[in-house]
Amino acid sequence: MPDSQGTSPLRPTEVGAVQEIVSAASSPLCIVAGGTKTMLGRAVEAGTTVDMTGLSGIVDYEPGELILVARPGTPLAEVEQLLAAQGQHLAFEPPHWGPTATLGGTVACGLSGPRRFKAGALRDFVLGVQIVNGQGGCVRAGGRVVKNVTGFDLPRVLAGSFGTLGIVTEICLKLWPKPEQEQTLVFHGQTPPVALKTLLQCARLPFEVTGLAYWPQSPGQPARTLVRVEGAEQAVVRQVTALRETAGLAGSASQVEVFVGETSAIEWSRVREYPVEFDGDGQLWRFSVPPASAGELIDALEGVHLEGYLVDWAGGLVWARLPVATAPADLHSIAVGHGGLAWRLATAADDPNRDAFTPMNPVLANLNRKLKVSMDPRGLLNPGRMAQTVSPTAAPIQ
Amino acid sequence: MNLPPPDPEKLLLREELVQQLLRTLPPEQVIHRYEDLIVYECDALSAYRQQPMAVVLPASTDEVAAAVRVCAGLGIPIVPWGAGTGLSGGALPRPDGVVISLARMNRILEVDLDNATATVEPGVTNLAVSNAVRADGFYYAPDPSSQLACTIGGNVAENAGGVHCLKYGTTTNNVLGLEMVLADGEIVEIGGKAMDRCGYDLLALMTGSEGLLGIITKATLRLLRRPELARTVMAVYDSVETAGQAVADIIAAGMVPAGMEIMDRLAIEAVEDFLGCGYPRGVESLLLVELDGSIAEVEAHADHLEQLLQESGASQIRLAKTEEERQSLWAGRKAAFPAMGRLTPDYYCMDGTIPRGRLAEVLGRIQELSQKYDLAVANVFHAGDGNLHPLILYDGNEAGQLARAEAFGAEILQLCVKVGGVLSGEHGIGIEKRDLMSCMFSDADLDAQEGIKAAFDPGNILNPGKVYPVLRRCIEGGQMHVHGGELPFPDLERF
Repeated sequence: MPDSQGTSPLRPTEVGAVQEIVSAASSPLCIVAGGTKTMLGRAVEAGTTVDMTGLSGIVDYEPGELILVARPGTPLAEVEQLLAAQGQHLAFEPPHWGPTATLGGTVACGLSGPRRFKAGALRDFVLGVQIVNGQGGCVRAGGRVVKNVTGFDLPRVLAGSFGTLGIVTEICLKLWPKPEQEQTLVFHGQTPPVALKTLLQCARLPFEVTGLAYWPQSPGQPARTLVRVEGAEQAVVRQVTALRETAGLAGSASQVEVFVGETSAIEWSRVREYPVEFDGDGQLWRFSVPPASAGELIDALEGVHLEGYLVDWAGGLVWARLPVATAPADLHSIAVGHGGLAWRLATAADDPNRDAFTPMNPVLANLNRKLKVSMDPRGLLNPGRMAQTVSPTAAPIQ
Repeated sequence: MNLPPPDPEKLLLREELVQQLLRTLPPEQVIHRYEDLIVYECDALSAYRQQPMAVVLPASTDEVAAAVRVCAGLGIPIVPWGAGTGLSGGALPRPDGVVISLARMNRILEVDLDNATATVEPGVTNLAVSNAVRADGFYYAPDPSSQLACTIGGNVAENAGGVHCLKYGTTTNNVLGLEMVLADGEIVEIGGKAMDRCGYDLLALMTGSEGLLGIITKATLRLLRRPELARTVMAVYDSVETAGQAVADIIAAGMVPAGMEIMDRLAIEAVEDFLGCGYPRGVESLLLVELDGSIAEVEAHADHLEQLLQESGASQIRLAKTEEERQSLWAGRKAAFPAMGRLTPDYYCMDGTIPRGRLAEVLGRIQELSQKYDLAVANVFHAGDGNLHPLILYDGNEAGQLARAEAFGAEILQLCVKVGGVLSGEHGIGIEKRDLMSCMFSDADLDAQEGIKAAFDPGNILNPGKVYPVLRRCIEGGQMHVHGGELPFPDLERF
């Protein structure tokens, strides 16, 4: 598909080609892969498209070392299948949002799934990267071991940088044994305040609780509070039983159900893949707040005509559907007012999504700019995707 | 390959510097008399010592910022200082610089159990955080062995680890927010109590940046629920290699223990002499494995673990039956470094990390090197995450022994890199391993990292001369330490 300048995308299949593309570039490069998360972030300010799906494949998989090294275009589904065959998985439970999701795009977007509050974020699993920076240089950072304080932690910094600091050409990820069993306790009919209390209460129990989400009541569907327990089978059964008997939890629900194995997995993939269900009516927002603030956040959003939502991460993540007319600035200030931040998702392919991210204070914004300029001094890599482009000459770096 | 020599022009500014600092901070918070500065002449890498021109002890973020502005105005280098427990010389003062000690900023500002966070000043000790929330059933996971003394500010600067890193991560996995003073005296807040943050992941960049990018003045830490049960097993092996194989078997079986530690014969004997904690004598290797979590989860794995240990060839297996027995098993491991003091006047602690699968090979090579350099080495290590701590025993009063120990150490670290590992797992690069960075990173790699340093600190006043080599080259075989008859850092006094 021709890009906005009418040129065909470049599709490098080796690192050297990526370096040549960047070195030779005189105008911005728009770096893409599977294209499943284009609604995140601001639209890239024009440029030549660089499609990274050609730089693909597993470089090294060592189950005994709990590491995987792969190229960015490797399909996420392929990685997950490979790991599952060895009883391992990506513990940060990456959202796919489509069958074409790649490992590189997953790292660039930095999204973590429902297990985030327990297992850590995607960035906590990126042990090493090889990148091509904005000057066409091939740079390695990090390593292949879990414990490493040798130099600045660029692998974590690259995670979630939306391709604006460097083009990731190789990734080393930390793996985790896949729990033997999962079960989800479902409390039906809890009101939002009761449900949010349930989530916080379960997060504080000394159990292997790895998922805490809440679907509010919707037409034809009663509210559901989801509590996932994972681990050795007999341990999961014991903990689910104990949770059912925990004072106050079950009593507040109209019905309690237990989903086992695949049924539970399907339920959580719906939570993880929530934006896929979004029908495009209105705006979709993603709020990240301290978990105990979720209730007040939802109340504040009700005040601007909240149309639907999903709570994940024990309250730390709230997906919200809002009317198209709601001013982004108001929603960002609601997020900040509750100790967090918000992302607005683009509503259509041609939505420039200028208000995608909660604005930063000037000192923080300046630090971000310095980092960007040091990695990509010519401003070639996905300019505008994370913040409005400020040319180094227009705003001299102090 | 030296630290930048003291700048004579900066030394001339000493009087002006002290006067400006005294005008900026209360006089009792400015230390400038030679005899008072001795306390700050080294961190825990005590082979290197030099006194700063002054030490300041700010009591607030604003005072830190004010002190930084004074130094920035005069172009005076700053060395941030937590408790001085670092093992890589990251807090080594400069004779032409100022030490900013965060010791006075030692308040726990807030504990928020609903969000499972604690917000603390940088001078709070690591253990104080866990102690403050223990009664509520929470703790702070990173547990470096110096946790009684080391501070959170230093932990963040060094990305401190501990014995539970495989399962719970290092400091960077457990920091949600930071407040920092930058090189120009600006104050910036990054993150908070939410699980995501705005913009680039500067939390990750700052954590482990060894004081090169900013001075930490506040940290919001993630607290964890204390495990319902922790169960520790000790297994005895006839070689370190078989103990290492047991670790591989445990991981292959899909278990993630909270901690797995191996000690070799020399370390075991030293610890028994020092503490008498009940380790068996005359054995080659000892493996400690701790499972933690819910009672249900720990019990589900405990039998399997014991079976694995038996199958792996353990000659003796001892399960701690009480909390006292468990603490006693750990006490020995945690005392391994101090116990060395009884065997030797000095020891040099290395900190490389290797892929677990290369353990036998690397340990074999370390024994060969021990003969080559004619220095004994004791091995204790975090086997779960491949983090080695070979302790090289030497006598600093014997001519040439320190240089031999350093050359031995450099060769061990080069070996770690060669097998796919890294120079430092948790102690940091500091000055100690600075000149080895080129063994692990190419010029392009180092340019990228130093470019960030230059962007954040264009005047190069924050902990200059640490982490990144002044001249880049990787010399094979440990020869770098004795080059043309000169020791590294000839400008430093040696003890």
